[in-house]
Amino acid sequence: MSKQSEPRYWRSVDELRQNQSFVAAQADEFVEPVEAEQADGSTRRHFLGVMGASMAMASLSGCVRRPVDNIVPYSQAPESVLPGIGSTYATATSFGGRALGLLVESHEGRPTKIEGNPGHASTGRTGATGGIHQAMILDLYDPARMATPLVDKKPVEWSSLADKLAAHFKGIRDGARGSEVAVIAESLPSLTLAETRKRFKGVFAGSTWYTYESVSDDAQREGLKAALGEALVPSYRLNKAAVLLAIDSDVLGTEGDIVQNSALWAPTRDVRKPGDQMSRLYSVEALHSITGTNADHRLRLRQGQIESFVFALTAELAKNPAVVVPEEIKAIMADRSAGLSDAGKKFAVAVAADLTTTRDAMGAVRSPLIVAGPRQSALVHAVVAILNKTLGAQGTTVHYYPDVSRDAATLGDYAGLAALKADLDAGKIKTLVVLGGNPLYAAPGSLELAKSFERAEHRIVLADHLDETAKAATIAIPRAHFLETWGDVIFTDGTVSIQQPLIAPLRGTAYSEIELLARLMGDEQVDGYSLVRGLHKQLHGAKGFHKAWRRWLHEGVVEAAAHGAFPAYKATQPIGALIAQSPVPAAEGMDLLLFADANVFDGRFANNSWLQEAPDPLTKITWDNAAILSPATAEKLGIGNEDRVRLEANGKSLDTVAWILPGLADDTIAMALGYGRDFDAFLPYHDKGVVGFDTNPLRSHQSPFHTRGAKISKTSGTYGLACVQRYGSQDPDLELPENFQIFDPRPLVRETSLEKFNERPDFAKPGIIEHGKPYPKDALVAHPPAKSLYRDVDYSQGHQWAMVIDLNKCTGCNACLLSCQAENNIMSVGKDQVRRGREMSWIRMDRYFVGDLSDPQVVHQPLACMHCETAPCENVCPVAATVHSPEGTNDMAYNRCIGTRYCANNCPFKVRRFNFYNYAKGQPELFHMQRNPNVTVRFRGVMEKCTYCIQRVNQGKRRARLSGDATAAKKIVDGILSACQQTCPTGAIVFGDQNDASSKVAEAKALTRDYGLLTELNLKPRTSYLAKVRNPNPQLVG
Amino acid sequence: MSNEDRSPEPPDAPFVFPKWHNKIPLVVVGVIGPLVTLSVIGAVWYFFSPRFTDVGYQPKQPVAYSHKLHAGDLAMDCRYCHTGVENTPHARVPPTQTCMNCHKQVKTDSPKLLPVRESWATGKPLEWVRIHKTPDYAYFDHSAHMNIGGKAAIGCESCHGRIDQMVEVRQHEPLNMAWCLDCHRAPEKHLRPISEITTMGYQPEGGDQLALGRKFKAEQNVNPPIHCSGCHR
Repeated sequence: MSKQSEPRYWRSVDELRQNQSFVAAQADEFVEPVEAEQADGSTRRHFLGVMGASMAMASLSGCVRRPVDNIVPYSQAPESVLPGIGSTYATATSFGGRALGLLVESHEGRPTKIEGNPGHASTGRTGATGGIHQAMILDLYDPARMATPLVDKKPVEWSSLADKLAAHFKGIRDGARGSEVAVIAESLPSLTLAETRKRFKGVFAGSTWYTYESVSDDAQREGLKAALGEALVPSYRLNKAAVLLAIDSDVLGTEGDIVQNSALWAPTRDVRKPGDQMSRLYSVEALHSITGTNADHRLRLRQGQIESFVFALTAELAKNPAVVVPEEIKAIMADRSAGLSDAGKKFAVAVAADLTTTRDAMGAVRSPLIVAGPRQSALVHAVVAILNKTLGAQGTTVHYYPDVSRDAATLGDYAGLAALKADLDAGKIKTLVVLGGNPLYAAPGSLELAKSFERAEHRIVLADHLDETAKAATIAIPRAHFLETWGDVIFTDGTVSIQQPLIAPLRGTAYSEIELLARLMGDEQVDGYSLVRGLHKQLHGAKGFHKAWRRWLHEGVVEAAAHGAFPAYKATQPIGALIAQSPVPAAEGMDLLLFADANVFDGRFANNSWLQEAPDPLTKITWDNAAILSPATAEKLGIGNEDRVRLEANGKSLDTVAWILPGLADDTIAMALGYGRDFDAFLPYHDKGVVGFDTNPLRSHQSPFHTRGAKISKTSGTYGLACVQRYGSQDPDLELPENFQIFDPRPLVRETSLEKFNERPDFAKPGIIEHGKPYPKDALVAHPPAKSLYRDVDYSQGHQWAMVIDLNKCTGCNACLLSCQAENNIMSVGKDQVRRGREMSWIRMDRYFVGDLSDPQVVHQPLACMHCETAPCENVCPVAATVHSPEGTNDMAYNRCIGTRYCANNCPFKVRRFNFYNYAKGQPELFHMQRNPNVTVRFRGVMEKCTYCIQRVNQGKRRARLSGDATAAKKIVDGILSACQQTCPTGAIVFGDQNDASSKVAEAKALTRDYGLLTELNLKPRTSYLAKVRNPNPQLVG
Repeated sequence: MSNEDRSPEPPDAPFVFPKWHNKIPLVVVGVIGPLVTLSVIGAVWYFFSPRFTDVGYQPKQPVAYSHKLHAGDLAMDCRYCHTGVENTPHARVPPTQTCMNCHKQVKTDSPKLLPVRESWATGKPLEWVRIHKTPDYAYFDHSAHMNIGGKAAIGCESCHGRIDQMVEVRQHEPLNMAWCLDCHRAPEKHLRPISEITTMGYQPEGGDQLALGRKFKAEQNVNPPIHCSGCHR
């Protein structure tokens, strides 16, 4: 059987090379030996002995009446609470300066699930969220959050804290000593905060205000200020971009308005029939980012060469008479692009031609867009802004808006921090107010901020946890979670939302930023509600305000935007000054690249077990970060996976662990920020302590993300990482023994190019072969029609639930996985358990590499229970705990399951998860408040897996029946969304009734790209996939 | 056994078990064994089943509230207190407020109502003892049974018994899975017009419950789930 015409898919270097360890691991069902010692030191034999004894004892004491159970109704019932029915409230949040409109579900007063607001521009009007937003609900119930204020490290009453603060700041106001006060805040896009900041500067004349984000867009602001005259924030309209060039930018993954970007990008990748147009995505990067994995063409360059590429591209574009490039840039183009490799030059030529092709084959307008990421210099950002202007992107595919979280006078984040340090060292600042952000952890190590911090006599820190900064405070104040306090949030495009709390502060009291500032200023009104409502009343006018306010709370959007709508076209300015101060980058030694982690971001979510356990989109490592190297570099240095290494940069060193990631630029070490922090959210099977490695000390404030001349050397020993793509694997290539023939020997992921799709739209269907060469005739073995040993079930009647996942749209962002975790009460298990292959996540985000080891392409494939119509798990269950429903779902009856694990053994997709321990038991009671009351919390010894969110299906069916009207009922049934579907920012997941021809899922199943996995085994999976279609540039192919 | 076998035994012969003793094992295995086994099975079957352990459960409540008085003699509608039963999964136990709606005027100084007045004054809820309990992994939805196509319903008494005759409420049905499935497999035994949900001792016109039930079943396409995910998730 010839398989040469199919691409080869692989998941790790070990797999590609078929290393001994990999082959051995493949043969085993379990990661560890079955008789291995358990986490608590007991063995299986010991366990059985103890169980026998306790069974005997239990049977003696078992003959008692059931325990008395109480029903506790309200004394006075609130009108809106219907027990058993969740209610949804509109609110909004932000992190890293980027806002998202939300709808939050609450059960009997407990917020349980976060969804996006489908009426809000930030979600692309899809109702999606990112993965981190999903996990924010767990942060609310984090038991490690500070509960009481600390003065000089001793707990005090809130009233005495308020008195102390009032007295101290009254003294400053009365003595007009405002210049002794400095405030450092996170980048919070809030109208009320902006207003409060203005007033604060008035009340404390001479005070300074700094904004600090660890992952800052400083370079972008500086570049746009030079090029457009103002430090603006770009907002992309990816739905209009036919060609998108991402320059070292993770525009779909971790940077900027990712939910909106993904939601708007996805429709441009929707190829339903031959002739459909598709956008093209280019990525130029040294890291391997989510955006890079989704690119049609990815140029792997060393960090220093990316700027050269930008100038080479500019030079190519300048050859087109329609493109106006300022002379000052033309003058430096040749010099600054000199070092670019040939591949880079070729890429620049092709991209330039594509960017300037203004009409497509059908004659429709093609708009281009260039996006640059935060690791690039201000000069690159300025050039990109100028190119976007001359290419006509400004106003169509990129809009610019003012930044509300900063004043014109606010220094850049890193420059500001340096200035603050200088002021502290000079003794100018007596009172320092820190509004969240944990700068002592997140500041670049080159600043040595911790020492200077102590120089301020009064250090007032508002923080979620007793973190690095709060520990160094004289007064540490618990900060309110966004679901506990009133506020307002501005989205990049100016959409204002009221941040409505869903619950009173869990620990009694907590201050929000605006509440604390109001107290410091000695305001009469110090509660968030009055502050926010007061400001908006002032802005709106008293007439009709009450009605408007109620409408805003209901819709989650305030009609009047914070700043005028685009177009505010910006003319480009000369950037000579910027050019003069930007050195020509020279590549020397190794590059150290730091980036925001896709899960814990800059470390602020480090205490969130869901995010810690969500695998990194590329490395698939959980609970750690690692020094990532390309395969060639690792080989050159003799470093292997999990080897302990010493990393040296900027005069500091870090002992850490290495990991090999194909696709990374050579001579580059990449490492995520946000690790090296304590994890104290109690998990029964995870040891408390530091998670990962803190990379902040290696940073310099002059170049916070990129260090030249870094060194890495192997030290002795290895360090165990918990990577979830090394076991429980299917062979994606279906590598079969020589004489074993099969009808459809195709990879689990199927892909083609747009051109080939147009030729052969049903390429993904069994038996039809892509990649040019047809299979030799004799390779297509005429398999007899597959027939089940069991009686065929008629699924033609009633609702038949099914799912389709579009591989074209899936970016691999993890949002579905975290949404599933929040919806279905899935437990985190801890690093040690993950290493034993016991993670509980119902969705496995498979990441396959295809192609060359050094520069592969990537396919992401979310995989959960397929709900096979002839499910192999069902007929091996000895107690019928997993059986089929008449509506086609593969049900799990947890109360029946006795834990034989036969089903998991027989599942060809390895998507069943077993509760090796009672992971829920012993978790803090606060976590219980998050649980979805409509889903059983599973016990030890029980198998679990994706249920197609059967609780949502049942509720939808109930509501449809109660509606009593066929049209309304159909609308309700069409509105049933699985949690993953609701959260997916790109709409890649479609769920519904496949028997209803008008449903979205039936439409998707009818597409020619639809294919099922392992259909040759006659599994009849209900979840199918839409094969991936890439849109390569013919100039770059071959 | 013939007489010839029974030769006279010498007086000093050693004791020999009579031959009929050989049958003891047979009797034990063949008669007593099965009897004991059957009675153990029977006992477990009966005494361990919710029909024995749960039916009749009548705990003492914090307030001596009489359903017989309110729902029977005064003929108050069940839904006056148990609001939400028609549109939410739970038939709510009323908040103290509901009691006080009347008892601000009626029996304002009854000592039996002292806990209610206390709860009202302090805001501390009354802790009623739960009688009808399905396990946590079974998701029973009242509203699903209260409104079937806007025409039919299952009456309160089908599961809760003649509440109007109970001074103190006790469990009337076993509420186990077999009992649930009995009705889910044959809903016609209990379907009645939606207007008669709360009627106690309901008699269909003409007295033929099965005919009425079958009519509703056919008209409303009543097809109660008998698969796992119907109730377990």
